[in-house]
Amino acid sequence: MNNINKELYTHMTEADVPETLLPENIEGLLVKRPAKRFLNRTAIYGAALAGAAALVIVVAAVTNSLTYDPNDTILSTLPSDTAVYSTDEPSQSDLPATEDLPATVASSEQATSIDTNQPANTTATTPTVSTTAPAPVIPQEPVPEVAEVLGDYQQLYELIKNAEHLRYNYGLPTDDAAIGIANPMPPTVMPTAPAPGGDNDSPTTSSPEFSQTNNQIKDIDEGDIVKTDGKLIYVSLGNAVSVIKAENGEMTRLAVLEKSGYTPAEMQLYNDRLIIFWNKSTSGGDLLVETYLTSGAFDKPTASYSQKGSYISSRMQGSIVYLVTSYSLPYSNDFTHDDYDYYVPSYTVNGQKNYIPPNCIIVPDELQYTQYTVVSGLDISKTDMQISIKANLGRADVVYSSHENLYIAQRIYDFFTWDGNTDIVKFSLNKGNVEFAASCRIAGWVTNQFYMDEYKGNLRVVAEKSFELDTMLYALDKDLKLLSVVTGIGKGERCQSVRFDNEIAYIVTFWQIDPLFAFDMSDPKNPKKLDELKIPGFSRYMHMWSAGRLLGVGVDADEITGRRTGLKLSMFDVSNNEQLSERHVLAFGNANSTSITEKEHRAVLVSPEKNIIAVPYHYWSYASTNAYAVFSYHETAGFTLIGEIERTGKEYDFQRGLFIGEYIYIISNHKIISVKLSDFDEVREIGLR
Amino acid sequence: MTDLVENKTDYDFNEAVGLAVKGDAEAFALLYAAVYKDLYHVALYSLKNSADAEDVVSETVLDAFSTIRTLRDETAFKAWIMKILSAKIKRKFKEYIKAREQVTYGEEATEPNHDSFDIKFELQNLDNKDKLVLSLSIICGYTSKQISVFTGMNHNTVRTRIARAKEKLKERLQYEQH
Repeated sequence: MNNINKELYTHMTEADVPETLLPENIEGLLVKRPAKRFLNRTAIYGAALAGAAALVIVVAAVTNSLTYDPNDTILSTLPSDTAVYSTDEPSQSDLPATEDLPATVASSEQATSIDTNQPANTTATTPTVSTTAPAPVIPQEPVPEVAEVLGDYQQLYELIKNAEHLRYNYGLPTDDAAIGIANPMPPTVMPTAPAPGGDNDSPTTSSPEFSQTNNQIKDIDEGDIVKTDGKLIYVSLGNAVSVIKAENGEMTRLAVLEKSGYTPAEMQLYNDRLIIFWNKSTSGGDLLVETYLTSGAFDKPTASYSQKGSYISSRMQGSIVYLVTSYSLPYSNDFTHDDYDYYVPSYTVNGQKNYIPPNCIIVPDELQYTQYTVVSGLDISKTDMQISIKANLGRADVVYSSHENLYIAQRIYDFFTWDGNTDIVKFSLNKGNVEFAASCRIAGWVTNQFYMDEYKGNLRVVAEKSFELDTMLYALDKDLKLLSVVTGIGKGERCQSVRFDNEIAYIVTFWQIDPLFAFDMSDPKNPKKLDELKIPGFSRYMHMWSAGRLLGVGVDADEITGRRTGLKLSMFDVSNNEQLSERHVLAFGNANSTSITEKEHRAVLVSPEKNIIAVPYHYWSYASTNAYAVFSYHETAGFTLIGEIERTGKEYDFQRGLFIGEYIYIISNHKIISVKLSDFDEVREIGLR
Repeated sequence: MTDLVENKTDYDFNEAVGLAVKGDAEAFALLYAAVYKDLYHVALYSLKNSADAEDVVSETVLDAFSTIRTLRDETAFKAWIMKILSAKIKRKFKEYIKAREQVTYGEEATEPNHDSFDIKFELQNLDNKDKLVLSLSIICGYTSKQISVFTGMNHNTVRTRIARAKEKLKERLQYEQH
């Protein structure tokens, strides 16, 4: 039988791959073909073409009427062919000449459209371009209101039914995920060690200070895989949540919480409640929210709630948790109007399953993904937690929340420019009530939550075109209408990190050298560039250390070649934003060092009060080494290394660090290590499970 | 990123996937280079028409590039792109069924030569779905379980289809040798 395999293999692979498909021609593959298709399609419509690049088709999503605006020649706006078509659906006869169209998945072909049905704000607000911006170009305006609220399920059904071309189960093979679960045990709590008796109940003396999750905004708690209340440390890594009692560096494992069929995502901690978000281990399941009393034995949850999707993000203000989940519709052609289970997101309160009512579902004018994002407001002090729930038919790539509003950004790929657009949907938050507020589309991609910031009701967004290499700074009002946009920030460079400090926006771009830009946004209609500081390397995360001091955690690079040479900490003097300077810099690690902090801000431990900056990183020097370095900063002496823990081996992939009192606890995938801060002596190391 | 681009030979596949997920076109090109042969051969063999195969592969690449951001598990890149390809091929099958009179054996295969049972002809003579599962199994070495995930077919169906196709071809091969 092996012979036949071999023989068949030879026969099957003897053909040469045609030249157009060779990897060196990938650019042609990704760019030229769609352009050709575009020409074909517009030829069908009989539109005169001055060149694909100069063409803007405005499609009204409902009527499919086509108009043509020859005046709009901005290449970057280039809304392209947006015709919603389906290949196998006979019901799509209202679309012209579908049979002539190549049967493809249209996700790559979906690009911007301007909906003419929407109020014509496209000309109302004239964008102001800051004159100080290098090489200003006429910016594209955000398209306001790219979404609408549904009337009934019928509309939703038709929309999804007709979006067959979008409905691919591209995610992970669902079955394989299920196979990977070890020990399918009944939901249990395994008390691994008796709680050390004695002084547990002694009158609580002032408990030592401890670190919080490195939140973007003070008082808005972000969910994380590690939480602490100063006495217990909760770690959600792997398939279980470990509860560890920590006292003066000594650690005891109190409980390991596992749930068969579920893996824990992140957690929130509110007073004496631990909230665990359990993802269903198979995709397409519900997210289970459970609260546990931290004073109890963690044997049974005090409240539970579930909603469709898997965990994306959560924010907590007081006892109110705002939860964002998302899921794709699995591939299916045959579902009927009554199959609510298939196409309507659901939630379960008190064991009662409900479908989200149609007036709580927002659909985009132009469907990009058959994927739902579900946003809910929960009061975790109650047993039936849920207060309100909304769903948006779209993805959630970036979630940003201020005290009053929650913004969800969905990236949309634009194959003409290789760059993308971003749809922003705004929800207003009020004591757990989530209401749809506004939406818009801007050019460029939003990379992470620090790219967005709300100040005095206005949203400032930094978006990047990673192919054209341009960074833009938008100011949008409360209805997400454009106030101003600055383009050409660090033209030809990649945007690396952003931090807003009230009226000031700090933006780092990098190609060979890092410019740190400061923009004054005090007049959102007229942003001003204050200064630009060029230094080697770049920051991937920025943190306001104190008034006038901006901390950057990032990468050190060679000034001439732009090659990375290691990691670094920078302290910028921003006391005068018109004269930025790098006050101190400390390089560490070597050329192959990477750090999880480059993409995960919660892995940085920063506490100006405690004077601690701690960064986990990884380097290779004869062996793959994981390190956790703790620094302090002084105004004159600069950065000082307090100490460093180094470990080799996969189980020491350091994820987070925290401090309680005078001890630092370093958490990796499988271990937790405690260190005394004063002399950096290791106190204890225990396994998480 | 700069390191990756400058030393094309010395890169970590998963790291490239990670970069590609973030929208790095260079990293995506590296990934494509690692899989393009398999993609094309599976498509060519399943579809038996080089023009269609080329179309399907280029559409797959486009789709993969535009949706790679949705890839959650970085180790599953190849499985993921194969899944897209399988979906495209199946879609093409549907077109074939619609226009059966036009596309029968594709452009190259004209009249079957019954004097010699050419293995190539036999390979092409299989049922469409058999061709898809067989090529995924032979060219990429996937197990029937994995193939069932890509194609959405039942696991057992895939297993029988592969076994049946091989059995058929084996008979023909033995016949040829006699």
